[in-house]
Amino acid sequence: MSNLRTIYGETLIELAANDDKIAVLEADLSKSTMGALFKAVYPERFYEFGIAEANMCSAAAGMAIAGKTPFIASFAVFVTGRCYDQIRTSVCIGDLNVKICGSSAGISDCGDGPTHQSIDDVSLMRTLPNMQVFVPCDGAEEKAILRYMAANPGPMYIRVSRVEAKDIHDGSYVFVPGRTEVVREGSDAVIFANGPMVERALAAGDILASSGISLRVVNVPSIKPLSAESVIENIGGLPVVFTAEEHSIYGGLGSAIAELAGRPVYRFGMPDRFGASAESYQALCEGLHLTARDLADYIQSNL
Amino acid sequence: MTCKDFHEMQKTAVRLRLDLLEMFGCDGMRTGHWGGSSSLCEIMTALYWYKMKNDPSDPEWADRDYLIMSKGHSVPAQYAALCERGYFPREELARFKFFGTMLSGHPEMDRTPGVEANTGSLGQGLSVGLGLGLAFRQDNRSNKVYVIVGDGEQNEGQIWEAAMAIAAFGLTNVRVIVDCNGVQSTGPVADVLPNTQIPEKWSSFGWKVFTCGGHNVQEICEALDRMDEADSPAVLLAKTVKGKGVSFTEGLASFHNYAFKPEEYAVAKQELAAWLAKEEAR
Repeated sequence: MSNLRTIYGETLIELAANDDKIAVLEADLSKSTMGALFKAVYPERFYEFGIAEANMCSAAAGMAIAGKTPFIASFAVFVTGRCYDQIRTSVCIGDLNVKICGSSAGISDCGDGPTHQSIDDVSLMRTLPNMQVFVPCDGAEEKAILRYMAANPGPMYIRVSRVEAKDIHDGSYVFVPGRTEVVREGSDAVIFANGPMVERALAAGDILASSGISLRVVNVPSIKPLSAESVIENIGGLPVVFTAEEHSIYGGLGSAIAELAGRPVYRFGMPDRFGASAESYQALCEGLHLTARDLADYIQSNL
Repeated sequence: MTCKDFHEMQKTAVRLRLDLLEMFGCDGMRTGHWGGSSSLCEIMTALYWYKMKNDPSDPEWADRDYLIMSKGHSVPAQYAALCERGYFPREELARFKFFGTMLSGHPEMDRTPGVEANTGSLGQGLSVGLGLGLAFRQDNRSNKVYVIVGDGEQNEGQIWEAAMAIAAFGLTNVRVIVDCNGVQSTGPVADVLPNTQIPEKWSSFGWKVFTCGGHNVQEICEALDRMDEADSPAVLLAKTVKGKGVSFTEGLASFHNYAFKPEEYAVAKQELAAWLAKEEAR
């Protein structure tokens, strides 16, 4: 298991050792995003903006203009929704080198309710020209994506869950933007998933196997860019395509796959509703019908 | 600087307004933000001909000072200054807002030599300046950042987020000039959203406040020099007139963003030419 938030802070420290352009910007949530780990090692490259995300975002644009590689972070819901116009105007129109981390993403901040749960961040970021959008499913993938983000120019968004992730990849994992990756072979149906839903799709595959259904699971760490060839190749002629994401079924992974699949796509995720407060992540997933069992049932009923 | 130099700059500021008219034309197709651009012409002159380190033959010069037009709609005043300085050819002025132009309706850093950031959605430029200032300080670079903010733009909360942060970071390489022309898009600043005690507000945010008449180049230059001595963040509240130089537009919100009719255009040109002639005779 990996703590994806800790990996955010640790990987930035690692990257900063060989890249003095990296700066970390926070808006009073560094102990949650784990940008605080960076602060402890590189205080001179850590900037605290207080509870003022919009200012942090435009300031990151200024730092990028001056040649820096700023990483800004906050809860996904704030760093995208509250800063949308700043990301659009200050950052994306000029194609500036600002890296954005949406932390505690999806419904992973289970206790805090709909104000703190991001079901629309991927959709918002995906629509912006010049923006690239990444959703890692485990620690190795997150690390690889962060390395890619630091090494390549332009605005990029990474979505990080606060829920511990099962390790699907090992340290040798290579991230290629746009590429989708088969993580479980199957011959009856295919599901494209990302983030915490990859783990759940694999579990749904196990459940379905006991009913004689063979499910192919494809990981999609890069929603934008997204290679049409890779999607078509991994559909591999199967007639029924599913998607699963911890996000609204409008505008995120499901929509991105549907744009390319050329056939009906059944989208599993948050229907047209906000999240809710719950005593635990498990309870929230059960309440919102987002468990592996729910997913297996959804697939079976649409086959 | 001699009185003669300041007098030359005073004439330059009138020429910038003639350039504005050249940009806007009177073809009935395009509007131009005349009001808030004309109020900035002396400020642009003081910055580009006196205060800011800038080299038209090398817009990317590493040691240059940066101008961020936070009130992005007034970028025509900056375009006029950049053009008169020689950053791009005069012919481009007539292509203002045309598809494929170097001169977009709002500032685009990848399009216009000398434009340093993308602004237009109000309230963001001061934060961009803050980021530049932090980076320059970290790298021990001496570049200064001048951010032009509108008095109406002070309605935007982000201006005050940035003001708070610049003071907290103790930056003295970011200087702000507020174009206090008293009128915003739909009416007087005092009526649209009464935003009183502006000097006190800046001051309570930790800024040293300077004031000057915004149409006297020498006065602006001297105020900018005095700001250099401040060891805290510093803001210059420049008292200006919206639509300055064309009598029938002065102080009126209706000329904030306007398409001149041919007969108005002719009068505007005449008035500015007369002003320039008067300055030349002085």
